[in-house]
Amino acid sequence: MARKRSRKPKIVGTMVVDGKEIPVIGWLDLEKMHRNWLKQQRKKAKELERERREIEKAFNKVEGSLLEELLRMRDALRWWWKDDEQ
Amino acid sequence: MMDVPRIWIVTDASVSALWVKVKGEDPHLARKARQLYRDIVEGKYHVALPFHWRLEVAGVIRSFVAARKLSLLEARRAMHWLAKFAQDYCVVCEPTLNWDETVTVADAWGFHLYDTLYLLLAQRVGGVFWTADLRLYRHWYSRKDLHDQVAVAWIGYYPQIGIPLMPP
Repeated sequence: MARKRSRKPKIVGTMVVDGKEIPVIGWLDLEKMHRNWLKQQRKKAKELERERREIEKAFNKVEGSLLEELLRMRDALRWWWKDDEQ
Repeated sequence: MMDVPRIWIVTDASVSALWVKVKGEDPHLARKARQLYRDIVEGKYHVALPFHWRLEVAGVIRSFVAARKLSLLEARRAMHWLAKFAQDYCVVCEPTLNWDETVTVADAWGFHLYDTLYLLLAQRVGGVFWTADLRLYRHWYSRKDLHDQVAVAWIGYYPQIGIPLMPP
């Protein structure tokens, strides 16, 4: 028994084959795909933001600055800023 | 159809550090860094990161763990999050030049190799390199000959990308 299609294929145009005009079926609804993609992107961004907030909460409990610590580590590798300060 | 973003940028570990911590940081910089983060997530930019970006971030987080300020679990979560962010919104790149050329450029420009990798990547993608590292920015600012070759911007000025009248 043939499987019943859940959706009817959409006819997006026609093309001529052997002198006959045949319908061209658009299986993919590009606009719908794009809408779904945007929805997924938003969901992903929301999830990422939720995780970031949790991490920020944990990091905010820590004394000191992460940026300053990073800059200290970087400056330890540099030489030119020492020349600047002299 | 959606407009594909055309603007490439490079951000460094100093900006990423401001994405995960606010207390104890400069509130102005943290706010600007958050603004950049939101713009990235909204698809305003393509972001290129050099391979050592993750090492720099991991290094500073590890130092917090070593100082017993942060648990290993929290550090791992942060690294996971950054990796996920990079995977979803950024392109992690290998060095744009071979090793010898990179060293030559670093010597000519007067930057450390780590900084040079960021600068070369920004030059390659033709985008602005955003940093919260004032020393790096000032050094670039003092090198007028580099201004035509690579664009560097300090996150405190975000989204202003031109060279300001007054250095920070």
